[in-house]
Amino acid sequence: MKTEVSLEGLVGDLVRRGLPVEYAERAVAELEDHRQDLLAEAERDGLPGEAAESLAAERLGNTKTLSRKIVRDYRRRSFAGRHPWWTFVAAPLPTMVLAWAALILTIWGAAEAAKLVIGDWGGPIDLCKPNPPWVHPAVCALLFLIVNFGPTATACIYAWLASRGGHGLRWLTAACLPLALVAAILFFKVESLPGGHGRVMFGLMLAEPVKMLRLFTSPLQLTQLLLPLVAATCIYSWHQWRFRPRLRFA
Amino acid sequence: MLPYLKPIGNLRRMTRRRTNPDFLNGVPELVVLKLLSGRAMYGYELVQAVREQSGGGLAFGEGCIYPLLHKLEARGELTSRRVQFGGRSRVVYRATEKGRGQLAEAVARWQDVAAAVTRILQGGRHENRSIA
Repeated sequence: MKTEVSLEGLVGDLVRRGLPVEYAERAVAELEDHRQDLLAEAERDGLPGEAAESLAAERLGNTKTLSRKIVRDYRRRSFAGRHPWWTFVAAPLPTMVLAWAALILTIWGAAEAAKLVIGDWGGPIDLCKPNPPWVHPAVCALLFLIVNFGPTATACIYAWLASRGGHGLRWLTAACLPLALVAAILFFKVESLPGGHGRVMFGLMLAEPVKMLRLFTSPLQLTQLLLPLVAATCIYSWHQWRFRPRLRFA
Repeated sequence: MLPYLKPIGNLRRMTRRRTNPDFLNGVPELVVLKLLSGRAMYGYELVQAVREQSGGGLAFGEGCIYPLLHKLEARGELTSRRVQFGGRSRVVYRATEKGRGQLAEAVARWQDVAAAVTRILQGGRHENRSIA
């Protein structure tokens, strides 16, 4: 039936606008129940089949208007929904800084706790001294994780926030793109210098725009650029797939 | 566009408004909580009850009741469950303790505002204390 088709299409429309699938299905199921009641009322009033259907559909309301209203009211339940610019544009970079701070505090706390339990284990690795061959790559891997934790963890948080709050890919992209760009221009380097010295360098590769474009030919920088975007996409897609539409009208 | 909640009858129909007229802000929640504090109802039943108990003065857009019910449920002011009756099932809502508490506050605010507006409309006395 025409109205059932349009209500079924409403589920897809709500999901495309970013609403969680289980909520979209619930809302549409209740609208279908309501439509059935309106239909029964029209038939009790003596209206023939098609006229009753038509009246029920008209009273229930235009599906586009209902869709807008449902999406708007759902999003406004949360702070992010009421203030999307603050949440998805202004907050991601500070959130990323907080994520790094949390990671560093966790690592420091774990190291202090380990000292209490194990005792003094000899301090940090001395890169100036001869070390086993695995030390250098292990240190690089650890630094890679630390450097990329901030942008990637933040992107994952925003992917979850966008999928649960019905904010859609547009806001998620607005949040994740700056994170990815910052991740791409972060660098770290571990060097052993002649004379027994070593150094670890962190920083942002800021240069003229043309030179900065060349950074993206580096595999490491490309990986750092893509990591937050891929992580956010995976979480968002998984959430949408997990709660994919199952509702079918008899 | 459908009105969310519209006054009908003698008042001008505001059928093109996206939301309630400003003076009806908070009224839909008040009305729904009041009715669902009395007994559990499903959406269609609630829309009928608003129309009948307001004497035809207020009416919800039929499909628009559900975002409001879901919002109140998300706030913990309503609870819902699907029940079977008469060979069909419907999602039935009722007010929670928190909802009843919110209702009491909303009613008190409404009565204060209504009394204040009524006094003004009836030509309340104005004293200008600033003039010596």
